[in-house]
Amino acid sequence: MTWSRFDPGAGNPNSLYGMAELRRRAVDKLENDVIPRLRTARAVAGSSEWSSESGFSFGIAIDSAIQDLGPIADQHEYDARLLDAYAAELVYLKGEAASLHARDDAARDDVHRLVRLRDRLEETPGTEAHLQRIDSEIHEVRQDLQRYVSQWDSLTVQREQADRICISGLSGIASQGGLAALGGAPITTLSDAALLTLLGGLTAAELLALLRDDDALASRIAGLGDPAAVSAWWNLLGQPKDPYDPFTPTPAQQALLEEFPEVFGNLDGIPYTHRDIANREAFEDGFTPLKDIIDAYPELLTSPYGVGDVGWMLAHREAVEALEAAGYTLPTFLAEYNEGLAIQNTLDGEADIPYQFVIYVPGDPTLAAVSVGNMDTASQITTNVPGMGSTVTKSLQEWTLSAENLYMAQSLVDQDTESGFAVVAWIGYDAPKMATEPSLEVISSDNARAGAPKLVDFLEGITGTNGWAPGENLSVVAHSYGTTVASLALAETPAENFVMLGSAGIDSSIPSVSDLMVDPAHVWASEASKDYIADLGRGEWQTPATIGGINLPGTLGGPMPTVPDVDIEIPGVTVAIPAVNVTVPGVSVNIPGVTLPVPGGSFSFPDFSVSTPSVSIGTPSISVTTPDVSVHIDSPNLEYDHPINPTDSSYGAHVFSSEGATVGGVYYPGSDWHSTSPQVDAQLNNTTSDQYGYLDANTNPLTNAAHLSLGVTDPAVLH
Amino acid sequence: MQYTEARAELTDLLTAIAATVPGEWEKVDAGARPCSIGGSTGVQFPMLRRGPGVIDGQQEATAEAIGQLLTDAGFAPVIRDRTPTGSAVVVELNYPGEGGDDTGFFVKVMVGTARVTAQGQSRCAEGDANRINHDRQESEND
Repeated sequence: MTWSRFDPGAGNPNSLYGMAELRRRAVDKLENDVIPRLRTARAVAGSSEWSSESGFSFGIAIDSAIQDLGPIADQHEYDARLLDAYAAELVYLKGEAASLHARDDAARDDVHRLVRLRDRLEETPGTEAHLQRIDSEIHEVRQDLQRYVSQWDSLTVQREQADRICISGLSGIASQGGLAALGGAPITTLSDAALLTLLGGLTAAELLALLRDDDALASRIAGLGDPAAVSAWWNLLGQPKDPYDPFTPTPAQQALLEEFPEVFGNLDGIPYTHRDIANREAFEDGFTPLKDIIDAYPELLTSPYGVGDVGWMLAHREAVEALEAAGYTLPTFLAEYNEGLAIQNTLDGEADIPYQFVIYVPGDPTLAAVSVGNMDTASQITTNVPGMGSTVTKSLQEWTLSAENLYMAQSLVDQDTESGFAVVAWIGYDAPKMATEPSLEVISSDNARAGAPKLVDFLEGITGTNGWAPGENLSVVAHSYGTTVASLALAETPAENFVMLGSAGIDSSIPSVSDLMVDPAHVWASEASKDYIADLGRGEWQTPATIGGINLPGTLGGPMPTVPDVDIEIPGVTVAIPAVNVTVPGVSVNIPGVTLPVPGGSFSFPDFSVSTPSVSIGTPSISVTTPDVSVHIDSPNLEYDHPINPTDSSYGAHVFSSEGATVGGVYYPGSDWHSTSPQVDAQLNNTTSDQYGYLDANTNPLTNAAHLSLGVTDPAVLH
Repeated sequence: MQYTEARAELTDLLTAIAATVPGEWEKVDAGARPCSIGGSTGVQFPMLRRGPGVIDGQQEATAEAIGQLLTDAGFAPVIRDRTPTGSAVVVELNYPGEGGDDTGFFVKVMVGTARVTAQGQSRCAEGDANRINHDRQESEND
């Protein structure tokens, strides 16, 4: 096919797809018609009815023919995949080229227009400033044009690459299998569709061999962004052991999950049951060496018996030296070990309700998500998004148990769903540090803007993996700063239900519930009357109605007080330093006489006296003047990026109660503070607490959230 | 009370509740959870059982039968109507009622035509939840 630099997508993809189809038909004919007929004939040749020598020879000939036809069918099948991939690449290149042409043409028109305008203005006096702006614009547009040149180069390289792969494959390299064609290809330049088509031509053994050899391929696969296409590819990897159990990995899938867990553990499109296998494998790979160190040096986790515990001190020093040899400091090791322990304790909590470890990205910070319930079979999946201060070490276990509370509450109140639920504890973004650390991250939307796309990917990953319509069967329950993250995400991707608890504020860019891709009838918000923390994130404050036993006139509060900027003028000062006279008095030194013995007698020196005169020094008077100084002090007022309270009627969300309620003689506690689960927190810290949170078991807000996250908005069941 | 006794107490109760509604029941228990008992480390077991629904019109009678069973066991529940608007009757049983139970023990049952669900949590008893959970995982993986 003839193509050019500015037409890198030239060619007819449909005819390529047609060629691929012809090859598939040939394969079909061979596999389902020719070969079965030959086998039938072979059976006759081997039967007792035809036992002559000619029958034997005929049988041998047919065996040979069947043996030859197998590779021919494989060759056709491979060629078909190659042609599909080539066609997909051309479609992609056509699209990219059309888009680039449009931008390139527009930029050239801009340059012509600006140059003409400049020519006209150049003759007109007093237009220097305008001319400067036009020059600047011309410069910027020319830079754009320069970038487009590079992009044309890139498309040219991709077309050359696609041609090379296709030609080499069809020229016979295919007979060596897909490995040869993929082995030399710069995988990173292929589109997702083309890569997946080529991967589909590999056996699991070939793919394993390539992954062992090529880190770029591993990260390319881990970054595939089309869950539905990934799902289609993954499901064709090997034959299932049990056709009625689609979620037990095939041997081929199992091999990939075990050897490359970091590639497949977070890949949207493959079943969550499989991601769980991979992420547990990756976690064990990382945590086992840390546990081995603790087994060898238990002093790392213990304290000396007393000041004189020399044995402990020596052992501890040896342990720290061993850590340093392994590339750790004591604090970095303990941080990593405690994080691992938190994950292990969380996963160990699994009993009959399945836990799935669906995100595990070790790093700084480590990101993780654990689903309570099977995401592959659930008919409703709720993603719980935590707020400030959430980390895997501090929050994963507590947040997973809170998710379990919600799962159980959903199970209790549900009267419709057949196949069950999943509630995900999603520590999937870099949460702002606690304000007490101290940090002002929580009043900015920066962490939320960085985290929202990850939540979008996660939700859309569920949709693509489970083959659902966008937003279908998805709920989001968010707490505190998690509402800031989740609202930004749900402005980009849909969900059925959105429940906000103790919101730290919605970003100014989402001023109304109508800006969310959620039916406004299913957007609900709540803030407990004793939650004084949520307000701070929005730039508001309130006090309890009682402080230290003193009743205040109702709850006080309002916007944070503002402090104006300060300007101070410090006038210059003239300082006169008067003249000074200093007299240094003279000094007299007496040197006593000395008598020395000389032959025949002695010789005496007389006493000797030396005096210096007194000296008088005078300085002139000096006058020093400092200049006038202006000082501007910016006010310490903070910029609040997410000031919107979703429980305000102006926002448009429905509001539900997080207060305690006595219903039918049973008391359901309300949330006593800002936390989601002080009861769970106390359990984990071996203490007791008389406080309840939004997601503690048996609370009114939990029961309300359970209904709302299942889409039940009936006032008869909300309290 | 040993944690094994505390767990058995609730297991027996939920098994008896399930026996009042014939059909297939699904056991969906959670793992052990830590708690504090007299300043020591304790453990308790949240449990969930999902069973079939009852014939419309039988909700109250079934709830009464389960209520009697709980009362006989020393856990007299509060029974109330939880019927959503426009839906078949759903009856809820709760032990304890207002005031709670300082051991952490509770039982809740929802009786409806789509399903009957029983949820509970055992008393806090001495034990190490993380250790119990870890040992269970180890034995399941052996």
